[in-house]
Amino acid sequence: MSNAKRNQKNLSWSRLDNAAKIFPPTSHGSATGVFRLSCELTEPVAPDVLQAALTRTLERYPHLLMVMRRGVFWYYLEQTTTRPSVVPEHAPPCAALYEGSRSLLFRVSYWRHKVSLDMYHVLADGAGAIEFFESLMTAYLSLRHPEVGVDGITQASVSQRWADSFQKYYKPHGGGKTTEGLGRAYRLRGVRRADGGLTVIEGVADVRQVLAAAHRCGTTLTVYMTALLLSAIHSEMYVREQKKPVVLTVPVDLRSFFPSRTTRNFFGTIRVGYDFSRRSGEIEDIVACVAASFKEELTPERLGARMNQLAALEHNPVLRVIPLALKNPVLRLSGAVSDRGETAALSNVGKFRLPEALHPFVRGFGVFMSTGATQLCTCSFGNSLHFGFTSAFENTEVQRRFFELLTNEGIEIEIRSNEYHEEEGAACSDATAAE
Amino acid sequence: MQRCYSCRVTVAGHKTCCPLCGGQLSGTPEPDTEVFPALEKPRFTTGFVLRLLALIAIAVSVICVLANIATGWHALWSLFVVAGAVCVWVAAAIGVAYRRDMAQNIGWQVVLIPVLSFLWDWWTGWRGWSVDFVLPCVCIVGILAMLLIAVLCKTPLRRFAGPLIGACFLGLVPLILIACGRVRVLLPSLLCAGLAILSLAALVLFQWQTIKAELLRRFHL
Ligand SMILES: [Zn+2]
Repeated sequence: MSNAKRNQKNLSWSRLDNAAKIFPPTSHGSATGVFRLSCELTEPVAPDVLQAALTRTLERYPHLLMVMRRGVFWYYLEQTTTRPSVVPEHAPPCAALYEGSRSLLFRVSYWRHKVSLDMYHVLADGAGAIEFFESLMTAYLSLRHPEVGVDGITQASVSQRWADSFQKYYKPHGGGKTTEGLGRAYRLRGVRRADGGLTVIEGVADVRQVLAAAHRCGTTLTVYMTALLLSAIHSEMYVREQKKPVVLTVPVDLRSFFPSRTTRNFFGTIRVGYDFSRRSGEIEDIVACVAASFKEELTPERLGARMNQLAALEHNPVLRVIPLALKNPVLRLSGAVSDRGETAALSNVGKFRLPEALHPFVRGFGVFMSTGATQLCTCSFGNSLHFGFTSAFENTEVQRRFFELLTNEGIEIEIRSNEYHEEEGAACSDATAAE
Repeated sequence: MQRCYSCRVTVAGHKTCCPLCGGQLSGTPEPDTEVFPALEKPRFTTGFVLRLLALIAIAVSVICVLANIATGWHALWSLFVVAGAVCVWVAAAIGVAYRRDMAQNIGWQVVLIPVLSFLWDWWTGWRGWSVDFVLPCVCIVGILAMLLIAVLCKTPLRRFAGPLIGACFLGLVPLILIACGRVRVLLPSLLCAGLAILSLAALVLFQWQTIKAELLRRFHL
């Protein structure tokens, strides 16, 4: 769709891909549609070097320099001449980035030892942003430490990275069977934060300890973490609420099923449910149930069928000709309906990779996704496994229970949080109980 | 490192309470290991400004309605104040919402103000001032303001082409109204239509490529 010419008068533009179309109408409150990747280094960040690295990296990712504009029927992305500058971290994690047709859709910020990339989901998905972030950090570290002699260049061409893979793999009549919705799911309760932001809690563990615990259950890391999250949510449910199933939405990177080098959105979601009223709720049983639904859902046929189903909505001739101002409420409603079938979300974005020589300078990577409920994002780098919990609620019961299940297995956890109890000497909740 | 004994976790940075259970922490805080900066809360958000304006509008309305009741019901003048307050608030809300993009801001005001004045005119016993004067004058001012701002800020045409073309087309409406015999004072409408046609002609003759590209983008299905 984008024309190759890049003169000043006719900047290239492109449609929003299929998955991106849902984000602009549903971005509000704490669900900003922005996710954050962060990288902790062993030494403080040098802003000017980071700026140089960003400028250099963007030469290979020119398609990220986009702004979003309103068309009559759809939003679209348009190339911009605005260039980003790295800024000290001044906004909360996953704060909204789209503030009108001039704002860039990603932001690189730094604070002390940490570099963060906030990305609007319209522009890229997790895997795409990770590729960019890895390039950025490689460029930064190799500029900062020229003595190690690393020059990381990825092979994909710009047009490969900006391909719309949803269009490529769309079959108009490739419907196929998808699973029926799991019905209404249990919804987390709680008081939403007064500032409309996110409660961010990050846990860091040793990946070997967690893997050992997963292997004791005879399963993989992702299945194990999904089961733990289901169990953690269960522990804060009232008995009368247990007739509704707990359903987790799990995004799946479609690149591992359909070859693609794009950095744009190319993901699908599957839903994993567990009905605590009908089954035992033992962790072994949850693991077995989760493993079974992963095995069933994670096939190219299933994912392809779901992808076609979503794409069919976009190709729907009626929906297409509705003006944007009317379309937004329709899409917002469909988003809200789909939210009712979901309790929380869990996303395992996998391993971050950097050239071996740069490993000594990096402590770890973290991932956070904005949400209207609660979401857990996990990722690993080397031996450190990061659990990034984001939540629109003030209470941290699910998070506490989740980490408790891990520490029960003898896993050591380090907790970080964006919460500051401002009044020094303010009483903690168990001030009288302690001592 | 700080530690929470009930959660059995270590806690980075310097926290007063455990982020998980809200309990007390033991051990020495290490502020250097903090990962998230403590942020200052923004003072004036868009939502706050709009709520403040709404409160002022409501206050003015309430005072006038109460005064109207206190001085007797003979004339319901307070209804005009309430409707006026609503109109001012809507216009201000659009102004705040599009504060970053002047061309779009003007574009929406050019649509909104004639619509609101049309409703007023109709409600107050149709004297025709909304189509005779407000519509053409607002279009003229809008088109000229967009062009002026674009020249002053050296904005490239593609940035404001959409609202400008929209305003020009709206500027043709008085011509249709004249043809339908709805306009009694011709001069403002004729000036407005003339300016709109002239602007459109200039755009098509000199900037056709830009206009075409912009229309393709804006109207893609
Ligand atoms: Zn605790």
